[in-house]
Amino acid sequence: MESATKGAVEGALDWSADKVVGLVKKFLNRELAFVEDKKNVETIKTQRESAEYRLLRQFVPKGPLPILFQVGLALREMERDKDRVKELKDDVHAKHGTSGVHIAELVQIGVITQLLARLVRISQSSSDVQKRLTSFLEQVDFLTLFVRKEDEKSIEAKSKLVRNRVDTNPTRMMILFGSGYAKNVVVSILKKIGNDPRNYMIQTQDEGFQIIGFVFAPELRAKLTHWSDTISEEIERAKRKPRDSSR
Amino acid sequence: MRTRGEGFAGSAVTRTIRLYGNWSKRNSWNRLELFSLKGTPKEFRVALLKALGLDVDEKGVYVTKDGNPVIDGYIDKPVRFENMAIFPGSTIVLDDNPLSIASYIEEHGEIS
Repeated sequence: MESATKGAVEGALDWSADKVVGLVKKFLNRELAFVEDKKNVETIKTQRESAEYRLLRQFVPKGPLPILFQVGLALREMERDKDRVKELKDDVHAKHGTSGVHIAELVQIGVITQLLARLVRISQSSSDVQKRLTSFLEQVDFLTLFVRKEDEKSIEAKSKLVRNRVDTNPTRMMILFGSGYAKNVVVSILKKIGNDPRNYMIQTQDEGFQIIGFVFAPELRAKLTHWSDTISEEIERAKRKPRDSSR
Repeated sequence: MRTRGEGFAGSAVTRTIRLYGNWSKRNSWNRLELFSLKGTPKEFRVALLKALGLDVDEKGVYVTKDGNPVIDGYIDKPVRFENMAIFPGSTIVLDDNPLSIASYIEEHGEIS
C-alpha cells in the first residue's frame, strides 16, 4: 500500500507543470522533439541508413522520390502489420497519388533496386543512370500493373490491356505484379499473352508468395538482353530527336 | 494550476532515443532527443500544447492554433491530438506517421 502510494506520487510528479516547463525549455533549445511513438522515427531512420536506400538515393534528385523510396522500404519492414501498411499507403495516395503508391510498392518488392543494379552496369555515367531511372519512375503508371485477385474475372481484358500498353508505350514493355492469390492471376494473364500469335517476350521472376512478370513487345525479342534496356533505348531516341529536327 | 497524472504512475517514463545523421545546421541528429507522448495523460498533453502556443479542439480530436486545426502539410491532413509530433525550430507540428517523418527529415536535411 505504501509502495503503491509512493509510486502514484512519483507518477504525478512526472507529469507536473514543472516537468512541462523543463521539457519546453529543452524543446526551445532545439534539444528535444515530441513524438507519439518513437517507432515511426526509428523505422525511417533505419531505412535511411540502409545500404539499399543509400544506393537508390544516389540516383534520384531531391524531391518526392527519396521520400517515396524511404516509404517503400518502410512498407517492406512493416508488411506484417496490415493496419499500419494500409494507413501509410492511404497517406501516400492522398499526397502523391496512385503513381506515388506504385513507386513505393515497387521499392517495397525490390523491382526498383533490381532495375538500378542493371542500369548501373550498363550505363556510362551516374547522370546517365539517374536519367534512366527517372524515366522509368515518371512512367510508372503505364509500366506497372498491380494485379488483384478480383482480376481473375477479367483475364482476357487484362491481357488485352497489357498488350495494348506494350504496343503503344514508348518503352515497349510492361511489368505485372501479384502476391498471394493474385500470383495465379498474374500467371493466367501472362499465359494468355503468351498465346498471342505476335509472340510477346515474357520473363517472370517467381519469389514464392509473389511474382513479377515482364512483358516486352515482339520486335524487341531479338535485341533485348534485359528488360531495363528498353528504357535505355527510349532515352537514346529522345536524345536523337532534337538533333534530327535541327538538321 | 498544476496538472496531475494520477493513475499513470506506471507509464511515467521519459522515453528518449539518440538519433544519428544530419538533422539541420543548428540541430544535429546527434543532439536531438525524442520524448514519446505515448501513454502520457491528456492533461499533460494539453499543458504541453498550451506552453507551445497550441491547443486542442473542443472534441479533443485535433491540435489547433488560434482556434484553427493545425494541418500537416506533408499529408494535407489535420494533426490528431492522439498522434502528434512536434519538432523544434519553428515549432513544426506533424501527424506522427512515416511519410510525414520522412518528408520532414528530407526537407530539413537539405538545409545543410
